[in-house]
Amino acid sequence: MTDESKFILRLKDPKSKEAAFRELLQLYKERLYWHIRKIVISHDDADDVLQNTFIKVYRSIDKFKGESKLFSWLYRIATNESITHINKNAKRLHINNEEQKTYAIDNLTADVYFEGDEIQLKLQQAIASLPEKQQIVFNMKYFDEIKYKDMADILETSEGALKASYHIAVKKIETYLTSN
Amino acid sequence: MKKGNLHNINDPGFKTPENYFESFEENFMKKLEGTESIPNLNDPGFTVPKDYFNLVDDEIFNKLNKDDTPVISLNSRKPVYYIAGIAASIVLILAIFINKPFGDEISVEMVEAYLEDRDLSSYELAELLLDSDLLEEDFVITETSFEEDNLESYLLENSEIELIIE
Repeated sequence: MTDESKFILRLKDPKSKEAAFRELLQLYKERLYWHIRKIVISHDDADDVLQNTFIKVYRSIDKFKGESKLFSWLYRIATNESITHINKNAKRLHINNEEQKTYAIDNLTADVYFEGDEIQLKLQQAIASLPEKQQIVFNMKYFDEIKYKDMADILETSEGALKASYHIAVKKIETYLTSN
Repeated sequence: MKKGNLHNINDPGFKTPENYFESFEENFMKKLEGTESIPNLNDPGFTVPKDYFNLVDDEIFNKLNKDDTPVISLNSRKPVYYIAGIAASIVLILAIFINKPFGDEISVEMVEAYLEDRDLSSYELAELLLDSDLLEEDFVITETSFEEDNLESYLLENSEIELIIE
């Protein structure tokens, strides 16, 4: 039995669940936070989504059958929760997702938890101009350096499609940066 | 050169441009500087509040230990859709049963009562009859023949001279 399988068993066992879950938090909270933050932009939203993600993981760990890696499953939940959060915000403001993201980026300069310089802000604006899926692929590849094989598992998309998506995203960002 | 002895051929035969290795380091450093001209591009620029990652664990466990009953949102539209669907089904079922034609269930007594109620004259009833309804076998012909006197008085009382002339 692999280490991961043993860990999953401990997460499912009511006697060891809490202790194992605390270990899970230590292992993954920062990585998941930054993944979420790059999608939702603001710290407060990222905090909400991170907590929702782990609550969901805690409540549905029994349903996890180990068909994918634990890490991929966690990332998948975090990605879906992030998108749901953006959808909710957009609906509340009566705007679409793209407008909501642009609105969040426009507020970055006033955000206490953004210390980026001009080029970093421009890069966020460039990323926000991409379709949602391309944004996620770009962030995961460029900032998190996640392998395409793992990304395919997380996003349930073929490696070929992801590579094409990333390639197109890079071209669009380069165009955006050079023309702005 | 000796032909065909493979173990004597040690040189793969490739060549490099002139001064390639001498200028390699210089060219490489230039390229490296090129990528460094956009500093911080690998860092998205986001920061977090101090001690955030130390405190978030407890926040998550506090939420998990709270009431585990599922929260039903008051603003959820799902119950409204379910109720609307059920109401529509009930209305549809009622509409089908109320509008169902009585057909075989109408009794002769009901028809007679209706006709009496309507107070139809024999002329109006006659208008409603089709030729196909008037079958000879339905009429009972009595042996009584009309007496001429009776016929004359009937015609005088019930007809108009214009119709007789026509």
